[in-house]
Amino acid sequence: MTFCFGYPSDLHQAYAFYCARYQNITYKEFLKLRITEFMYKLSSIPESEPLYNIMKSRIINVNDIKNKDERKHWRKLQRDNKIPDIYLSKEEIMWELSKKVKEKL
Amino acid sequence: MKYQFIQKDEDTTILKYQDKEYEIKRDVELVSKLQSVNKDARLSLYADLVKKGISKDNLVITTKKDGKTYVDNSYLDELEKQYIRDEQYNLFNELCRNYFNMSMEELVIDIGLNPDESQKFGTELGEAISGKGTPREKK
Repeated sequence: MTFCFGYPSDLHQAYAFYCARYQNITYKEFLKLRITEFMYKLSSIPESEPLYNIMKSRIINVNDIKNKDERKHWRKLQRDNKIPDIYLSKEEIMWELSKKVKEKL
Repeated sequence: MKYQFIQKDEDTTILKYQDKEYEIKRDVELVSKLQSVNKDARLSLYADLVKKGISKDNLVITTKKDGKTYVDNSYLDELEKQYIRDEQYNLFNELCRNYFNMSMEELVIDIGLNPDESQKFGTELGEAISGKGTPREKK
C-alpha cells in the first residue's frame, strides 16, 4: 500500500499537498472532495512534494540502490514512513512480509 | 425490480425505489473511514482484552512436538475477524444513517425486501458505497 486514507499522517500530508498545489481549502472541505478526482491529482503528484517521497519510500526496492549513502537514506525514509500494520488487512501484511523476505534473499 | 442502483458518475450512485431517490457520494472522508475499519476493529479488540485482563498472547496456543514449536493463532484470528466484521457492520449502519436517514434494517423494510432479496441488496449497496473501482491501493 503506497497511501492509506485511514492513516491520519497520510491524510494530513495529502491535505497539505492539495492546498499547496491546487487551492487553499479547509480540512472539512478537503474531506468532501470527490474521491476519483482526488486520486487523479494524487497520481500526478510532482517530485517536489514531500508526499511524493513518502509514497516512493513505500515501493522502492532499497537493495537496487547502488550508492551506500542513498540506500541508507531510503531505508530510513522507509522506516519513518511505514504505514502501521494496524491499518492493513492480513493479506496486505502477508504481502509486505513476503516482499521483505524476497529483499533479504 | 423493487429498487435500482443508477451510476450517475464515477463517484455518485443513486438508489431509487418507490418514489424515493437517494444519492450515495464517494468522497475522501468515506474512503478514510473504509480504510480505518481494520485499525478501529483491532483497537477495540485490544481495549476489550485489556478490560478482561488478558493479552493477545493468552489466545495463542504454543505446543512443542518432536523438537519443533507449533503456534496456533486460530482463536486470535477468529476473534479479530469477528471484530472486523462487527466494525464493518457498524460503519455500514453509520453510513446508511448518513445517506438514507435510517439503519440498514429499516432501509430493507422500507424497500419491502424479503430475506433473499435483502442479501443481494446488501452486496449491491456495499459496492455502491465502496465503489467497484474505488482506490483500493495497488499492492
